[in-house]
Amino acid sequence: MAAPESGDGNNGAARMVTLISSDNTRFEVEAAAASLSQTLQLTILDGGGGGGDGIPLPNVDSATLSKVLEYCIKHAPAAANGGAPNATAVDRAELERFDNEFVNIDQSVLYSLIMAAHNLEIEGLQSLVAKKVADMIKGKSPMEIRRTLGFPDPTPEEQAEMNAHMLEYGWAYE
Amino acid sequence: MSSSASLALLNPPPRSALLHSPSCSTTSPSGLLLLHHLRHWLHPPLASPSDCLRRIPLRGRVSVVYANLGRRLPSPPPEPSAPGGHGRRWLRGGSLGARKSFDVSGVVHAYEVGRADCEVGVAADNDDHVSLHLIALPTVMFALSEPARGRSYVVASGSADPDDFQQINEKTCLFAYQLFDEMSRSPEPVAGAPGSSRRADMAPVPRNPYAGRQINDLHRDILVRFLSHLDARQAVQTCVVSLKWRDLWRDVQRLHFSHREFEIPGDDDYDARSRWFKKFVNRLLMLRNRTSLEEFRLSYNLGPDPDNPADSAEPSLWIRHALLCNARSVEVIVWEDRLELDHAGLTAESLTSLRFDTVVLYHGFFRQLQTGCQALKCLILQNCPIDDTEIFSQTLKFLSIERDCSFDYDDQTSISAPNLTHFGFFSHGYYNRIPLLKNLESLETAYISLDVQKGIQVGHIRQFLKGLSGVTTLEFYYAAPQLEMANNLQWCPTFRKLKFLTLGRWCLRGDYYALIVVLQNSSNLVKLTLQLKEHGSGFIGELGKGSFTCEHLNIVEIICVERDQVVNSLEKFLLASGITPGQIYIKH
Repeated sequence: MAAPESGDGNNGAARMVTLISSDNTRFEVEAAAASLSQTLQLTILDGGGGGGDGIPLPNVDSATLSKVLEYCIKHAPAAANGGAPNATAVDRAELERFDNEFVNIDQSVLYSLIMAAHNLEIEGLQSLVAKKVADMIKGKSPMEIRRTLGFPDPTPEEQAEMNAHMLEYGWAYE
Repeated sequence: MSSSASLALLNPPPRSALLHSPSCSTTSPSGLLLLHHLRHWLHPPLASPSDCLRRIPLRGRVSVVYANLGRRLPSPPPEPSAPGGHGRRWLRGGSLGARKSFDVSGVVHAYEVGRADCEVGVAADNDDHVSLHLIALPTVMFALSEPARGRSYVVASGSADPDDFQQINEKTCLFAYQLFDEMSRSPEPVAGAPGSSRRADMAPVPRNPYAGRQINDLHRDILVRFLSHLDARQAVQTCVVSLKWRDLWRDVQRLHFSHREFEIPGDDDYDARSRWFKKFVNRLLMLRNRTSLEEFRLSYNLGPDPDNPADSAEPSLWIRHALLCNARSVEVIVWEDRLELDHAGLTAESLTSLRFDTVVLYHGFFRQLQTGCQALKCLILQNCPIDDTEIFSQTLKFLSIERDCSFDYDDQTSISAPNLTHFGFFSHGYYNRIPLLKNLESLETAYISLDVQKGIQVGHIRQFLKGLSGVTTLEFYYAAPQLEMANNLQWCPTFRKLKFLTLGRWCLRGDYYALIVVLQNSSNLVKLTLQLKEHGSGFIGELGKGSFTCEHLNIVEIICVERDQVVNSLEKFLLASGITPGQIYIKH
């Protein structure tokens, strides 16, 4: 609820909005942070989410939403700077440290986060979780990827089809 | 038939089984190739080795065991027993020789497939890492075993001289068959004994089926996004992760081609590698779906070859192709060679960001950018010889000229970019004339590092700084020869808008001469940072007035090594100039 340090243009005091998770938990958060979500941005610009109303988010449970908001609050100041060309190296390093820590999570949480990031269209978070999954599979063989991501084993038919497919892709393997 | 196939995966296949079942099928790609290989191996040399030669990615610690068999195996090997215990029984009449372990990351391959007149034996020992074994004479066989899983595979044979073990070991140039899934960076403990079903054997990692199935259930677009953070070769290789993943790579919108994905440790056959890399890039570009590209990153090393001057035709075409796919960001990094760019094809409406490293920019490059790339906002040039003497752009907002970009020798290069908001200039050359900053009227931030050995003149500095006088943030380092500023020479412009200033140690020379002059001209400064860790020369001269007044200056940050002698006197100087102790922050 701290007033913005320097007049960033929008409002004098930070405007708050309320988000309601699928299990009916209410989260009060600065509009600037919630606006990182493209999905919410328009509603918020229209003045929604204030007062007793709140914006219901039927696809996001409270555990995931609190995680998502943690990300938004941390990234909102940098986003307000528009890609932050003025951000110092220290600030960037701090955000990077936060990001690494942030996605150091269980796969089921990661999954919920991926879904939430896409439903809410939070560009930075989408990239962050995609990078996380990519890091999990980087340098691994297809079988290891299957195991890492916990895919069911292929049926013999599927495997046969993939074998044929693989021979076709010699140029990527040789 | 399937039982012998699955056995083949777990252990070296009994020779008789292979001989008598040339058409064995298997459920695993690796098994398929393994059998494929052995069949060839058991027959006279391959007609066309390249048809079935494969390389395998190998990472982690690998040990090579050289076993001198001395004579042929008298009979087909017995059925294996327990994992790890079956190794030596294969080596009848032979002895395990020297053993060397080394870290490998890359691709294992052998030069040629050997003849059929030798026997194979596979030694598996109890270590829990992947081993590569050299076996048999006169032909050398390479086998791979993962004792932890109780598996061994013949991966290749070659006609290398087995006495020269050292050489083979160090070069690690063995052609091998694609083992694909069976390779494991860090083999996990095995659940089942060899001979138990493959499925049970393949489940060493505790699963979270819920989470896993969910990730696989994600929408295709999201999965594609994951792949866009992988390098191109691995992205394509995920086509056999599952049927759903089969064509994901075709829609990836960020392509990262890196020669590192094609490197083989110890192998200096640049030719083969270049061919392979080029073939890969060409195939991928041809076969991907025609979705537009967000990012195209090309980092290549086609090898230093004095007889074969810069081969720029293909890379130029790739870049052109990327632009035709509406790439928004293009990055090209050339190693050990340079790209002589044909900029005629540089026409792209959607290109916003361009970074070139070691690319020769011929005369007319900037004119082409101006007419062909009207959305270009960000340009980063590193180590690029620039032919044009006029660098101009109406669209650029971010320009950084870094690391040994050389300019025309005779004429002074000028830079004119009225919409530029950030300018970075790092000049680290023996002789590199500072460009003339003609029109940078929108400039807000500048990062400058001048480290030129020769030819710098006071007049150049004056011109240069004048071009930067409108910035709000300036970082300036100077390591060129010391300059003596004559009296009354207005080398420093008035920085009317400057709020954040960072200077290097150079500004302390000659009783803080340059520091004082700059501060005298920066009346609106809020924060001053002195980065004292980097040494350099500086400016010296005589001061009319040895103090400064910056009413708004309220933070002075000093970054230095511990116990830096200069800091004490610097603090005294600052305090005498009206800075309070609470406004000085020292960082180590």
